[in-house]
Amino acid sequence: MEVGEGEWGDLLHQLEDRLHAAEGFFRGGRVVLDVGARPLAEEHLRAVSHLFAAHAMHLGVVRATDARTLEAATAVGVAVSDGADDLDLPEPVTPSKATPSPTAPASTAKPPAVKPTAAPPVVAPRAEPPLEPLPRPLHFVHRGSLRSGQVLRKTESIVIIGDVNPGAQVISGGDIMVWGRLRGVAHAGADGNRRAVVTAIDFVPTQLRIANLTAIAPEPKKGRGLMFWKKEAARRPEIARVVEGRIVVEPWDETKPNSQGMWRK
Amino acid sequence: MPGSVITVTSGKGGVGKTTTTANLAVALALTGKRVIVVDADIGLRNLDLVMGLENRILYDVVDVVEGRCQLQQALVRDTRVDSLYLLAAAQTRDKADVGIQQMVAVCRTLSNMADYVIIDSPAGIEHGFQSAVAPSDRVLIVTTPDVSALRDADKVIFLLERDWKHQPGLVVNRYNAKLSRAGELRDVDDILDILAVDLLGVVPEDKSIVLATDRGTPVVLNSKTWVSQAYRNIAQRIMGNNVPLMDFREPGIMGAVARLFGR
Repeated sequence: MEVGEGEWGDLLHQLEDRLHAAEGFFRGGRVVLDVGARPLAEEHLRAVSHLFAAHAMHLGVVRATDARTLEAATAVGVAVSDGADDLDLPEPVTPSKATPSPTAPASTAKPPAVKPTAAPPVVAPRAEPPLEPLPRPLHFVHRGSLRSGQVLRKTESIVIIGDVNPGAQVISGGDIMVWGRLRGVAHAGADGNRRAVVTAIDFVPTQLRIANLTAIAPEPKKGRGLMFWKKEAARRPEIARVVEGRIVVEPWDETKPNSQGMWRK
Repeated sequence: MPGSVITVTSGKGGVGKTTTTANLAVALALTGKRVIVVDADIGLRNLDLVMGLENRILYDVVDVVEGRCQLQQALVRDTRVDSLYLLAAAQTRDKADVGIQQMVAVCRTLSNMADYVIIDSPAGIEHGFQSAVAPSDRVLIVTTPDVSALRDADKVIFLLERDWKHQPGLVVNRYNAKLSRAGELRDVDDILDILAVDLLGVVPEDKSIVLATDRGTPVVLNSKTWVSQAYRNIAQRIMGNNVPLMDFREPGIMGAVARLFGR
């Protein structure tokens, strides 16, 4: 998760909003906070730590390039890392060009591209005694339908063999694939991954979310008509993804596998 | 062999649980089965009104549970059908006054006295619903074709499957075949598509049901009314007999014309 640049206070608010929007998705997660070159005092770090605690998360490691920040973090009792050893994170989360007010990306040590996400304990880059990375399945398969009131929430991608009825919710850190009818609410890339996609054989979700974007299905055509030639055309499987900041839904056979780099995850 | 305990529930209120309970009970009793209906909606009792037995109640289920009377004393015998009895709910008490285990014990005793014990569940998914479902061998879900009833029915089916390992049967109530044929409202197939459970029957929307319910004479008692067949069919299916789904076109000249054109 990344929070943009700006005043510390604003960033904190932004972070809070984002955590709130994630609806407990990160619950129980350990956080690696990357503050770049921004100097932070003890009270700043305490505030962040409290914010995470309020969302049932634990501030595990602070990464910073500023010595004062590192000192402050140690004083607060949080493990530190000087950001030089980024081996664990293939994509550096810090756009550190901006010197005067660099970003304060808070990231749940999430290698954004390779693994789906990380809410359970994760390995901090060398700051702590190295832990064995937990083997984590890349996807979760649910057999059977989800009925109204049922919620399926996973950090990994979700495959459902069955229907998702209206009133049911599927929330995943990765992709969602429904081998059946999707009529409830689907939230893919719930940790902020905009490359996540939602697919279904019959695609009529009440609401669709990818990362922090939301889309509502267009109004269905009223009735099916009296005459057979007015009958709705047979539905085709569809796929929803983010294109230029908007959620786009297309029949699966109209999406070209190489367009938009959607398969190059 | 003890009789089977059937709970009629729906999640949403006002979809016709009580009407369905009363009519099914009468329909089963008319075939000669011994039937006891239990009103589990304690505090909001209605079943006695629909069955027209209000003035005959001496004791209710809370009296039984609290030991003020024998179970047999609390059973009200129906005036029109011999083998039908009612165990009324208390109007002055609360759902919390009857525990789940007590309800199970009462219904177990009743099932040794009858072929069918039919429990009229209260609306909702709280304590009252749970104590109505706990004693049951089979559950009947009543829904109307509208969105909110379907949504609640779906939730209730989910709870029944998860917490009670029940595979409920479905009764679609107040079905407006005209609107469904015109494609204005979802039809039985669309409903089954969402709920994915066994269909036990469809009851058409008809004013004779409303009037009969209001007067305390379940519509099944009047065999001249065409919709009463719907309840008889459901009763047959509950007894394990396979009967085809009824024709939803009203009888009469207009119905005959419509039938001719296959609409």
